[in-house]
Amino acid sequence: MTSESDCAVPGTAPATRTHSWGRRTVRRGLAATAVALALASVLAACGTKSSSSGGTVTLHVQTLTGPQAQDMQVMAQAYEASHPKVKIQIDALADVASKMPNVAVLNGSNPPDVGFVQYDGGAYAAELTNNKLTPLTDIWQSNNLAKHYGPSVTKQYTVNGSQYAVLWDTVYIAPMYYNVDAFAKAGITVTNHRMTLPQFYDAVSKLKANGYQGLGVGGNTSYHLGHLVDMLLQTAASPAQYDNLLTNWQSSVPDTVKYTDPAFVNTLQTMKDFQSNGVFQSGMLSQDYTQAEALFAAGKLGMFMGGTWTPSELNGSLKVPFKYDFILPPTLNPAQTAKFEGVATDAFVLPLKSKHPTEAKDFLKFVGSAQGQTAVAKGGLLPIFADLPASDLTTIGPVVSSILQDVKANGSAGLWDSLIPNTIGQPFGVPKYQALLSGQTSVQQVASEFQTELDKLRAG
Amino acid sequence: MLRTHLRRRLMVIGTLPAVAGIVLLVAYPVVRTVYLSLTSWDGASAPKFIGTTNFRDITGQGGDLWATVLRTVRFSLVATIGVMVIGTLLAAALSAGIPGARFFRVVWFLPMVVPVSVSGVYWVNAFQPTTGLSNYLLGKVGLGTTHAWLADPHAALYVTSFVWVWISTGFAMIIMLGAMNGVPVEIYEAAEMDGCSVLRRFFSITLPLVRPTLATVALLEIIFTFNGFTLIWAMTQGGPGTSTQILPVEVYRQAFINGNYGAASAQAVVGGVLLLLVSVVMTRFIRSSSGSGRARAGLIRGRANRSALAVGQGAK
Repeated sequence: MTSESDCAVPGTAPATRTHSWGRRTVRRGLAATAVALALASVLAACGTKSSSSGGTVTLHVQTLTGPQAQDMQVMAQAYEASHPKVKIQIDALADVASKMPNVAVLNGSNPPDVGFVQYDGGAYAAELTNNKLTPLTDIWQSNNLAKHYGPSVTKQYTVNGSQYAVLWDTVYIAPMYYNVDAFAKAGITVTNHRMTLPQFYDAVSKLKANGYQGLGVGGNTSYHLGHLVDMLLQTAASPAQYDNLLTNWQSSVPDTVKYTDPAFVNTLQTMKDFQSNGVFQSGMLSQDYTQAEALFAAGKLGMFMGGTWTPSELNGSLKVPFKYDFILPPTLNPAQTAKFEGVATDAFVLPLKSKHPTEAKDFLKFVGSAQGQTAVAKGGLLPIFADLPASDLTTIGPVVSSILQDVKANGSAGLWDSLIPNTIGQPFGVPKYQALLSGQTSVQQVASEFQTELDKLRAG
Repeated sequence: MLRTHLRRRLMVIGTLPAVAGIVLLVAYPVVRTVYLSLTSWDGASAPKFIGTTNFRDITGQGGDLWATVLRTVRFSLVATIGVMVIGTLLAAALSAGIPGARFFRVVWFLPMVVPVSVSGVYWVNAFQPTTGLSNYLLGKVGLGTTHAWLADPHAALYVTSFVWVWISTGFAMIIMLGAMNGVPVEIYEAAEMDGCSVLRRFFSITLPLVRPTLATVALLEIIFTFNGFTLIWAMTQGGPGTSTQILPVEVYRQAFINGNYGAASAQAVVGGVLLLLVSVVMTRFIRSSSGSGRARAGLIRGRANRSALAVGQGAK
């Protein structure tokens, strides 16, 4: 605002008046600033994530979008039913957002009460390294989680004798779901859910002859090609070699297998052969997981590579109109039996700055209980507890039940690119596989880049 | 004296909010980014000072910074040239008053209104083999329906550039239209009387007179495309391989996927310096062309007046 005196020629207006006007304006400005700051503080306080009102505590719990969010809804309802004073607010994150970008959220001034991390996503390791998580060893002890999770998972999540995460579910990769009608039409028979490499190529050519495309993979998704490499590598390498590849990034473990050795080179070459022989759907590298899955659900693909979470999508929102079953990816060494690769990667953590640590711990205790794990199964995911009674698993459906039976009969293997560090795992590998499949690099070049990274890791 | 002193104080106080805003929102992030580029930081721990190691790593053997910069420049050039050429032609058509000009002005601007991520998702589907619109249309003219445009590392960058042109042309068109409408009508009338063709008028009158605006829009487009993260991420996430990995995508990958904030900051610093250099050069060009544009406008206006006078005398 200006006044006439302000616009007047200097020296013509009474100085005292102008002076007092200036002071008043400054005072008014300061008062307005103070009010604005106070309002901002009030608004900021209203916007804080965790809140308590009328004795009811709202817990903010992170989860992934998609089937996981639906599953968490079931879990939240089950928990709220027995805890009327607690309301669960689900903060759903996209897969990418749940990884490294989540570090800033978990360490921010307004973190969720219960954080979601993936073991191989980088955020869990960063939080652990920097002591930003509350130990949950007491929950592990009171709920006897080591027994329920089994020794390998317990080892995976134990750091200096303490545990910092409660696990949600387990996943098995990478069943190739196939359209039973399409296979029947093409005259393809499947024995014991498995195929050799020649049988697989034969199946793809028969599918194509009958108007279907071959195998759907989300080449543009950050993990999907990695899962294919995982499964092929498992039978390209001997069990001992595969075990060494899982652990040889640690300098204390002798690296008896190199990435330039035949096991890894053959894996890459086979994937490249898949591409050259038209095994994948057209435009695979430009499509993500959901696009490839939608093509399968629309009956255009004979097969789609997924995981144990896929049937809840196929039967849920996609409502596939045909019957489907699974086969494992082809074995590169016929002497070996392909196994599912299991990973306990989805976990909940308690950030140090959680506003309601007591209530959050109680919720995590529920997640790590038989009741919580039953809720996981009810929501359509596979519980991490391997010892739940069969009656609690009826909701997972016949195909996933069949996968579980296969795991019981043949055992399972570790998921290579999720168990090794990020610098050599999925974030490093998938762009290399894309470059390989699009002709930008060679098998030898990719193998050598992996070995260089491994050497760097081992050198510390 | 007191009044002048008070005025000065008030001016200082009045500018404080703006200065505070600049310090908080511009200066601090820039200084912080430069600082982080000299550290090793995973986003959770305290940053550890490591000097120029990040810069050596990203520019040295194994670091693909220069390849990424080249890719960014290519994307930026293709997209900017496309936007400028098509935007200018559309603006000229609207300025010339083609039938339905009002309708086309809105329609051609619409892609600019749609969120970039939505446009990205639409075009990803449109470029899919067999099911996509682009292949459907190509199939109709016998050019095949199975082109996997975004899966081809040689085509993907140009496809994303095309989508950028589709999105951003409306913006360039509107700005250019404003500049073209500002060209005095009498100049065109005089040129018409002198027997200049439409093309001649466009190249000899319109373009020279709107050159400063053209240069400004070009500079803005270069800046927008250099920072064109959203479209690339929505369409290809930098793939296949690294074929569409422009600088901001690489910075995002380093920071939020690899958790290497130090290297990401170093890349951002290099990209920022390059963009600053381009901006300085372009701004100088805009200034010089603005001066010569005004002189040229005066010259043309003088010639127009003389032509009008000659016509008037002839009529007498």
